[in-house]
Amino acid sequence: MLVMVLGNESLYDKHKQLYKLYQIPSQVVTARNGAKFNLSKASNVLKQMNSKMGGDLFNLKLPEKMNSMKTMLVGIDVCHSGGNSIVGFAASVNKELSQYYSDFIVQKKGQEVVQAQMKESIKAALDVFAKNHKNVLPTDIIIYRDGVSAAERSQVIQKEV
Amino acid sequence: MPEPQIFKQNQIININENVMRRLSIEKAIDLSKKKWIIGYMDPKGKSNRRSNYNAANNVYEGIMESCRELKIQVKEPHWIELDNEADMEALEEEIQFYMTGTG
Repeated sequence: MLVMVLGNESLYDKHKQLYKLYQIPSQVVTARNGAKFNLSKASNVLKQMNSKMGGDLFNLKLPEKMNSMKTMLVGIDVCHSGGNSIVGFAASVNKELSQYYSDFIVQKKGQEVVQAQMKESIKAALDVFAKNHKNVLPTDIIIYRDGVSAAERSQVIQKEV
Repeated sequence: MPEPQIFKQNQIININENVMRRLSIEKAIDLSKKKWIIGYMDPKGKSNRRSNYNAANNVYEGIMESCRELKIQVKEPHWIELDNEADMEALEEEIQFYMTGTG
């Protein structure tokens, strides 16, 4: 795990690309944040590091009937506040629902319904899940989809599911 | 919906934001020797670039203290000191140096 204290925040992408190339989990802390690094900040950063290195923050108590299932939990939401609309995507990749694959999709501003790119994110998440379960895919997938109005529901079912 | 529940030391705990903040980590990572690195910029000689040494030292001390609180095993990190944090070649060399075990 590489913790990089970075003064120039615009270098973030370059640094992350290099760490990805060497497959090193990394945590960037800006020098601004580092200058006032109290225990609360340190604890939050450490919890993020713990997750990135494959540790679990907690284990949920799941319903007993899920013991025999291999469930994938997916969360999808779209943020419309910037120049484009950004889709946030997260999918659990272990039986305990404690480790997640995450991805984002950039799409036209104001567009809520996610089109074809969703397939790639789901496929990548399923690949990671299968890798963690001796090539076995999830038996069930639960999707939490936020931000959809009643009028958009049928479109979402048609185009996303 | 009801509050989520977690398993902790054979007990079931109802979770909310306050409880969450105080929870120790369920499956903690190991930051013992050769497991982690701290990198920062400390320009040599005359330079317009600012040193991040003090910030890096704060980060180091904060992480060490948090590790003790969250019961994470921790030892001294490997330190990477860069003359210029924008010099990606120099950083790459440092990473290679560390990964080949000579760091």
